[in-house]
Amino acid sequence: MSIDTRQEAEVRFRAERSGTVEVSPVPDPVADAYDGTSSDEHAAARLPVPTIPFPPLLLRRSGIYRLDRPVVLPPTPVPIPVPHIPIPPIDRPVGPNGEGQMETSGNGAEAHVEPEQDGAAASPLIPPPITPLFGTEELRVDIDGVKPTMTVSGTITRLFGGRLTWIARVKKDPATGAWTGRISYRDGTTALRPQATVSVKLTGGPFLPLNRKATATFSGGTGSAVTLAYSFEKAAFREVAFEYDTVSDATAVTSHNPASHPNHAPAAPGSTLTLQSAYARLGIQVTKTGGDSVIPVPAGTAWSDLEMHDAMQAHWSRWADAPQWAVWVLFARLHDMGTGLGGIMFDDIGTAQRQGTSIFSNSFISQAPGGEANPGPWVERMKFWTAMHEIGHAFNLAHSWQKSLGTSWVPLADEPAALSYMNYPYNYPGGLDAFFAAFDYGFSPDELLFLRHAPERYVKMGAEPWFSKHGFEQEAFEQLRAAVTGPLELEVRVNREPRFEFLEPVVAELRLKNVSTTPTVVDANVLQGDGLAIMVARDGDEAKRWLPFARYCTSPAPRVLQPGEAMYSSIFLSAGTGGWLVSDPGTYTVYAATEAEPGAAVLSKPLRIVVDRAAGSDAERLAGDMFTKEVAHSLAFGGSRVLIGANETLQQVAEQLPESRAAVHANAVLGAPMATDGKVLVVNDDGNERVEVVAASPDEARRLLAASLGDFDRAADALGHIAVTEQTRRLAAVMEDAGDTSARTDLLSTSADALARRGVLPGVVEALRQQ
Amino acid sequence: MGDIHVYLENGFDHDRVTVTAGNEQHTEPDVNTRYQLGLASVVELEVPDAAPVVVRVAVPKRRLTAEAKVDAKATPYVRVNINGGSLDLQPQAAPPMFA
Repeated sequence: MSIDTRQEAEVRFRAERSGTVEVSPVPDPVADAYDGTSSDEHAAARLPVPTIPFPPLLLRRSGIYRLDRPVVLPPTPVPIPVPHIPIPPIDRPVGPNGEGQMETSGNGAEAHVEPEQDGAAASPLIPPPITPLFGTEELRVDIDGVKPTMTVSGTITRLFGGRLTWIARVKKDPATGAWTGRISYRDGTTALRPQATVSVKLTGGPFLPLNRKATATFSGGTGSAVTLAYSFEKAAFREVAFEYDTVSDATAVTSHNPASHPNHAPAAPGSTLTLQSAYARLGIQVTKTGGDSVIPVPAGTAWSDLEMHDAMQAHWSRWADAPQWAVWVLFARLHDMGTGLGGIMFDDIGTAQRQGTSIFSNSFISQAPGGEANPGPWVERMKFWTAMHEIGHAFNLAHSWQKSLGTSWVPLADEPAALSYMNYPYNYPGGLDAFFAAFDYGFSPDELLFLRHAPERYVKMGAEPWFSKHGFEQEAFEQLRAAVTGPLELEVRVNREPRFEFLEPVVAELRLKNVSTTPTVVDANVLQGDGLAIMVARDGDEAKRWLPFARYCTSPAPRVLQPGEAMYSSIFLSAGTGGWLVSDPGTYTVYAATEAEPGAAVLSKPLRIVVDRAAGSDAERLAGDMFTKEVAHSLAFGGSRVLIGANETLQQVAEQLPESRAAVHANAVLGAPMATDGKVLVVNDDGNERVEVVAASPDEARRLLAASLGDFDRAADALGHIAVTEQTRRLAAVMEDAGDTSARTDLLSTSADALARRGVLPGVVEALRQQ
Repeated sequence: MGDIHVYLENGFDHDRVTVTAGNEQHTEPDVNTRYQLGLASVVELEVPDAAPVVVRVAVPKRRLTAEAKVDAKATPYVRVNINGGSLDLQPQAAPPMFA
């Protein structure tokens, strides 16, 4: 069709509307299920009796439901490992009757060591790791409201363990009232939901959305039947931010009343739509960001794609080269291409695409055809349609007649006659007038299915590139954190730069803090018992669960954490019963979770740590002996009187790498057992066990501990604040036993000062100072 | 003299395209359709407007050629699409619109 270039009609329309069409609050449509517009934009509809969609708002059940228990820490106990450690002889003075001579001994630690039996099969030392369920699951129910697709879908997100989006087209079973269908689409780790069919019963409400529940039974297929309970979370399927900026020589149209033009579909909304409410009524909650800025330019400026991309980075308050649910809309006058381009989603370059769109107010969309009786509404309608169309591209929707092209997320057929924002009205059979006579201001069923139910990364701006499938672990974590938000905050941290030398053991600190305004009861041992789960993943490798060498079975010990109060514990993160988790150079991510109260888990933010490459060949040579079970035991338990091999390795580390942080650890665990008398379990020749006391070696203990703590800041960096305080107390006790009061006082004072400077709690500092 | 506007639209995938009109020839070395528009690029050619000229489009690597007689005064806009493995030229009076 030809387009008249006269603009007088539009000028007259603008005059009738008392000025230029500008971005401004406009009368609001009937509030819809997903309408999240601000109160400023709510006003009486300008035309009478808007159509109210059925069923009424408060009775709708569509929306997002979330699994009631997002984080499940494994209830099954970890099998107690049976260490298989060679037991070397201990040289002892032989008494006159040969007593004291022995061949084996226990390790003196809490675990009982079984002597190795000739020919006996080695029992497994490391039980299979049990991965906790750090996960969230949402159920998207789409069976009523505006243009329901009669679909139930879900996304299962496991922080470690993959992700799955599944979709089922459903029908209501008249006998049971359940919405049932076959799962026909899966994207991701299919083992997370192998069942073939889903049946969903919706209960609760109707007037209190938060009472709404969904019970989903998954059955058939290769998995056992499972029934899960979900609670209603929100009506909108997606939440997006729009930001509008207008160039100084352009005009913006962000609203339109379909009924303002006499040629409109009976089903079209009968009152004014804004861009936000037009998406909101279709299940996409929109909030506006930014301040609707005006970008000053010389009059008559035409824009290239590159210039628009630069402007987006300069003016968009949400600009980030990363996936996010946010779109920038620029209202400009003209593209370099001329009047033939009405608008464009220009952001198809770079890594994070589909974030920017532009509408050109002086293009063909502002040129009503000759003879058009209502040029003002005609132009406003075209501009509104263009904006919705370009934003649709930002959601990764293709043109209606090109659905089969590119890499679609599911096989799609071209829809050249679709009554959709994604079709060109002037390409519709019968032309533009025929299009708007039938258009109800929506998207096609396949497009709605995509918008509401497709895997998030296909839809989210900045994620999947444009036209592909018209950024994981971070998303999974953010979703999970949102699902487990509560009164407690868990942090896994190191009180230093998270960069570790090669061979340096990693000690981290856990902090559980009450971030609410009311006292919260937790168990005093929550940071030690089975309720604690820690996962460690080296970039590029699978995540592994950290399993401590020692398990503590304690009786309940409730403790009140006042608002702002925290509790702490120290963990030797590098190794556990699952082996060395942090050893090779590289970058690691650590997550911690604890179930402070049943069903209420708390998840930490990830801790990223880096292990540097070996600084020299000495460290490389020691690595083979360092990264062993025996050394791990010694480090975990703070030393050993019987793990001779481990002690020899640690001595070599201390001697050959004296300036290293690994040496700090080595000297500490070598010196600690010598500071006091200690018991060891020994086995006589006749197989009987007895306990022997190994006497302290205070001079040696003092030498080693002083070497460890000599550079206190280095020691605090290496050992962590909790352990360095313990070692300081230990050395002070050795000094006291030796009668060296002056050295003791100096040690405690200097150490307390250093801890205070490092931000340790005043109470801890003073307790050390007053010891 | 008149202008002919050749719109290389859908189906182009980093193709080298040659557009000839009368004695004028223009080569686009890398034509790639942007599917958010349904348009790859626009080639403008100046032709004598006394009589219709033959506009010829070739995509050598894909062995596609097509031509159409174009009256620069009546139908100066030529839409070029690759559909189902063949090259299609459509002259028209009004400029195509994209959004």
